[in-house]
Amino acid sequence: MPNVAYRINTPKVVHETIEGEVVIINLDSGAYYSLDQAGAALWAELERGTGTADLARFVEAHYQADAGMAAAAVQALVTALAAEDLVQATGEATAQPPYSNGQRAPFVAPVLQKHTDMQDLLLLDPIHEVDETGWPSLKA
Amino acid sequence: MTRPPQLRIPLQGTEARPTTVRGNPDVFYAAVAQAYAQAETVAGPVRLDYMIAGQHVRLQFAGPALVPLLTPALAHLAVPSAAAPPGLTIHLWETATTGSAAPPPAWAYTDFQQNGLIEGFETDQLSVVFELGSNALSVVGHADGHAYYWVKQAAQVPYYDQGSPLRVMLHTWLSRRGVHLVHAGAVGRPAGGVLLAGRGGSGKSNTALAMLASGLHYASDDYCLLTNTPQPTAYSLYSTGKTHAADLARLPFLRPAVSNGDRLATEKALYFLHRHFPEKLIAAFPLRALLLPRVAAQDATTYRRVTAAQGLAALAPSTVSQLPGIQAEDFRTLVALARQVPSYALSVGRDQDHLIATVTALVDALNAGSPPA
Repeated sequence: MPNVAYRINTPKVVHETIEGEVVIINLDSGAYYSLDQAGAALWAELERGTGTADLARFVEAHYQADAGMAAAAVQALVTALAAEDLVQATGEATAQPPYSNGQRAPFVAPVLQKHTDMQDLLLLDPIHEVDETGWPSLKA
Repeated sequence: MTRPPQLRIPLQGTEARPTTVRGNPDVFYAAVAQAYAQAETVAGPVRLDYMIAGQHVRLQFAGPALVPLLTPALAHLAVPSAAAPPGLTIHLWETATTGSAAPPPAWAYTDFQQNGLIEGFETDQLSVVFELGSNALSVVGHADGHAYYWVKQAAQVPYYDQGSPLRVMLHTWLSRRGVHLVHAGAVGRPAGGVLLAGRGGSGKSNTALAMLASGLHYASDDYCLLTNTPQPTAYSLYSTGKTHAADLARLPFLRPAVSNGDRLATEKALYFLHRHFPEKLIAAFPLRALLLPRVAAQDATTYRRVTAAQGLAALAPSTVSQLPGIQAEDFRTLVALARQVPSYALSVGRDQDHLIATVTALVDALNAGSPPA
């Protein structure tokens, strides 16, 4: 697995950690996301510049997941984050020192939860005509 | 990498020739101000002052046409006109009675965005929003304390904007002063109260309006204002409420307050509460908790403590999605609130009396410094 680093798409992406859960907002789209458990831990590592191969090793060291499961989970997460324009790849990351294996927590593959009310509004999508002054008005 | 799609409304020109070149925002702002000045010369000024979350705001209309549509929801915050200049003067006009139209858009028609923002016209000096639902232009000049609101004709102002007028403009101006608009109901006592948070259909409005029959006071059912310093405080903005017409069966005392009874087939019932329940309205109170209502298939109303993250997830998404130009500070205010006060999931039962008693007892426990675990 390549060791790709990602950067968080600030300033349009803002995030906070609240009681161990990461909440993320894309200020441009208004979409709201959350990550918990392993997802929250991986987000924190991503923010530090940890590359994807190291993220997989992080998962193996801290959670009850084998190498294949860890790699798949990391790849799925960064793909989801990138698809929502929350992160973008910046290139090869500097390799992290090996993680020491301590107590490993049960592993639940991270899922990027998306919460948005905008979709209800988007479905309206009325057609507007532009009048002679250039201002839109609702089509009769 | 796939970027989220930018939302464009397909605009179909007929004989129109929309501009395709993006102009200068400052030039556009000056032209808007001039158009208003011309309107006021024709129709004469109507000035009304309000105190909104401690901020003095003046509505200055060119003629009276828009006054009965945009001011009733704010009537509970009206104050006598003061000699001191207001912090914000909003100039409002329509073309139908003044003959003055806003200048043509200074941007390409593809710059209209679904959320109302205009590509290139949201700057430190200026915020321009064109709401495609109501086709209202809102322009806020952050440097000079003036803002402008224009529609072609007063009749186009939809009922939901009459219930919560100038929402985006007030959010834009107030948020830079540490006062943030939130999508939430608010009920309580002068000693303290709660926000009712959740997306549309969660039961915020029905729960808030039900409290009109309780000993609690009412600050909002849908939108209110929030500050975090020195302590979390909710401020009333609109003295209105809205429910589906069918909900009147649970809230029969609201029937005399329905303002749009002839249009309930296409509109929610809209109530101007200052006309019917002025003693029940409250301007502000300290915030003690977030309540997250959900309609439950049970008679009794119950609640249980939930996490701050759950409270934030109920409050933030709908707030953020309804406010064009949301800033990081708005989000951080919501996060801070979720950290500062407890959150409770409220399962709203069918028994209205039990709902009222449960929420009232919870508010009183919170005000007594005994938040339920």
